[in-house]
Amino acid sequence: MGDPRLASRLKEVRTAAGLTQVELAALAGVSRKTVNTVENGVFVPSTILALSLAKALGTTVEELFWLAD
Amino acid sequence: MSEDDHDPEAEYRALIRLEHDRQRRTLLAALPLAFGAPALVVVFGVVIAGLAQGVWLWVTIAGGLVAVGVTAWGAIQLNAANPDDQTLALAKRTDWIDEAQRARVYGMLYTCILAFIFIPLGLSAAGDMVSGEGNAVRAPTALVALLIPMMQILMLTGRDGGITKKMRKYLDDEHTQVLRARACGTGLAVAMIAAGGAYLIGLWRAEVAVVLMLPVLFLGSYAAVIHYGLLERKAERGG
Repeated sequence: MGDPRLASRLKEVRTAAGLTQVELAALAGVSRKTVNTVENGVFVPSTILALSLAKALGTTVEELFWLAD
Repeated sequence: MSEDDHDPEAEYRALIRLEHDRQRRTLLAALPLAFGAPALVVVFGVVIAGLAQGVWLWVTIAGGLVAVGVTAWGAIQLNAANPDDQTLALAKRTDWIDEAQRARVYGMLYTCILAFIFIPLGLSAAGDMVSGEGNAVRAPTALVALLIPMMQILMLTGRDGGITKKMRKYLDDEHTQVLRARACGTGLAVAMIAAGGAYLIGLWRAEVAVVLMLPVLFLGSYAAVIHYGLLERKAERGG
């Protein structure tokens, strides 16, 4: 499910926003384990999920995810 | 812990630390349960249906005893992997979507318990029917047993009814669909291997191969459901 090419700072942005995984999951309309597995890099989110997470955190997808070198 | 002094990072690290040993135990339990429990069902069914006779009956019974031991060991390991109070307290922080998805997994796992009752009965009934001893009572039993693996696959693929469109959206989120695809792949692989074995047996005794179709279907659906349950459990812990 994971892909080493995908880098993420979802966890950093979430904690900086003062949100728990449960709170972010509720804002994005997904389960906590979805947020958990995306943060841990074991699940690559779809475009829609990435946009939902970015919207919930008030940022852009590029700020959350990028291609690792 | 109040919401004010809630530290997500420390909580996450504590959860991982607490669960590390339990994950290992769960994996240890998964293998014997995956092989021992269905083997026990098949052996029980074969003995009841009278498919094994003479020395093969004793070999089958010995195999069943080994399956009992392996299954019991797996059950002990799984029991030891139960989360403690601290882990349960942390788990209560999950939202209702997680709760709904977890309840669905438990529902699927309960069908495995039903299978331990109906698959042996169905095997016995099917054995009677192919040997020309079927009757109006035995035939429904064989059909009901067939519904168990069908029901498991329908639940796993989200094709069972009684759920609102909104709830379906949450239960069938993209993470669930990825786990579902992996579990179905496992179930298909197991079913293919089992069907291959049934085919080879059918070359020798065609009527036995017909009876074996029921455990073939059950093994495939059981493997898919158990794999899905393990993937969900792993995902709950961030793995």
